[in-house]
Amino acid sequence: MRLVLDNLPLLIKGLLLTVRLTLIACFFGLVLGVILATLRVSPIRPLRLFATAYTNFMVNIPIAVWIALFYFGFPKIDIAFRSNDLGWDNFRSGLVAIAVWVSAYFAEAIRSGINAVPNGQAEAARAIGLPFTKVLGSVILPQAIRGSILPLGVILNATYRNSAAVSFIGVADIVNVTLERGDTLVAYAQFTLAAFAGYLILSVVTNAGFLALDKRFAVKR
Amino acid sequence: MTSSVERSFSDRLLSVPRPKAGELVLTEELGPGGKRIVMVVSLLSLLIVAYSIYWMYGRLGEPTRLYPKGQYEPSLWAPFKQGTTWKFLWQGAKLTLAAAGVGTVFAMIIGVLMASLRHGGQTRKRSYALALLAGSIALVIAAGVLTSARIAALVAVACLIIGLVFFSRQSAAAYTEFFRACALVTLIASPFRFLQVSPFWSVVLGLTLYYSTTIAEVIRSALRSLPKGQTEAGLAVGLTNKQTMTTVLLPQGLKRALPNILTQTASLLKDTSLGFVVTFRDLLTQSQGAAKQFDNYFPMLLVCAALYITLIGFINFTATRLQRRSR
Repeated sequence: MRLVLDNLPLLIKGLLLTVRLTLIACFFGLVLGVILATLRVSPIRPLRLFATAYTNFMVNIPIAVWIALFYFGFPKIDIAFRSNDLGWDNFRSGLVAIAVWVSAYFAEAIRSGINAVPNGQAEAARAIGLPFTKVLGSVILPQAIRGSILPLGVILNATYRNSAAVSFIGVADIVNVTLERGDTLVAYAQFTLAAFAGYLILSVVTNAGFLALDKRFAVKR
Repeated sequence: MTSSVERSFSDRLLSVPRPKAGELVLTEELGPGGKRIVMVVSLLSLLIVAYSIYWMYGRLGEPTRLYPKGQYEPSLWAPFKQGTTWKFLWQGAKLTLAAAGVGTVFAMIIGVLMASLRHGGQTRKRSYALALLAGSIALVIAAGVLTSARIAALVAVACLIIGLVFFSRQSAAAYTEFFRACALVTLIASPFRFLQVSPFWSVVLGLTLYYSTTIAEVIRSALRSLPKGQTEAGLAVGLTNKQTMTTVLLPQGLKRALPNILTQTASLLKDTSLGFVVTFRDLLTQSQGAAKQFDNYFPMLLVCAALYITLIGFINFTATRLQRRSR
């Protein structure tokens, strides 16, 4: 217990890194996901096919492989995610990999949110003469996103845990820090429990937050 | 709409997806103006996709300091002509598949048990269940502090079994909710760190603990979706609770849950790649090692991704087929 308390600043730093990584990735992932979901319901066939292919491609390859590809593979063709001139930054590679990966999941969640909006809404919007962009942008999507707050929360929660895969490229997130400290100080139990507790805090806070958001924003039907 | 043979290319390009049941209709039948817009945007997007493929093709071939032909340098792809490379990758794939297979079997067994106990098991007074829970947590912590982690794990298993016998519903619920809230990485790392089991069994144990809960939830929701008359009819013809569960409810519930179980299996297979935290030499780690040796990270990781997508795509394909058939 004392060992954990002594290393508390380090652990909190790791936890905050996980949080930062996940939140930034999920922000960009959500933006990309909304675009992808729009493409998937659009009347333009090539765009629909593209979005479907993208989703299947992302979802069927493990996140660890994506992270490895973004960190080890892409710099070889000079697509590197640099934060400065010193070299490629593993945090950024992991961030981009997680963002493009999670966007597929967000797209799926929003698409099922779109399908959960009652048909009458779309019919009414079309009846008053709105074009497709307006039907989707100002009638359906707002309701769809407000209706899929809880699934989005589930994805955010899953991303907190899956982001642990960035340990593979040596980002000092909570898992990496606890494993490394546990190895150095030969105190596996304490540090594994610390990682456990860290994730538990994250998931409890996220769940509570999204339940509150859902209560506040979800369309009551 | 006529058969697809008679439809021209532009017709097919324009076709608005016929809404399936439960899907929204977002556009009217297109008029001439709308058709023109859709046509133009379609062609434009096709052009953009074609150009990006062309750009990527050129980008891959761009000469770098080491490789005058970029990623098309034959030396980068030469390892794939050797049997030993594939053998090396196969060793990893074998472990990935084995861990996923064994994990799925265990997770299924525990998942079915937990789902049926949580759905149809007996409940007792809540205060007794909470007392048992608190007692077993205290016992496990005491065993962990006083003796070794292995004994603590044994005590935990024993407490769980006692709980499942006497408070089946509450114990199954506690197990499911607890392990569902855990991060999979820590579950995989724990057996390796605490019980000193081999990386393989550590991965299997972690996956089993986590995926037994998700599979249990999938099965439980399938059981709940069965009409209530099924249980009542089973009990009415004189079957016991247990017989109703095993002969009436579970066969129907499992059939309904099968596509979702397969989705979980695909996800389990993907998550074997988290085994790197316990130095599990799975497909990803092996390709990483091979890439390091041949210094061909990009081709090697592409091949690795392709192998994963084949394995998981196969499972997903089966799931969709089953889903379609069961409807």
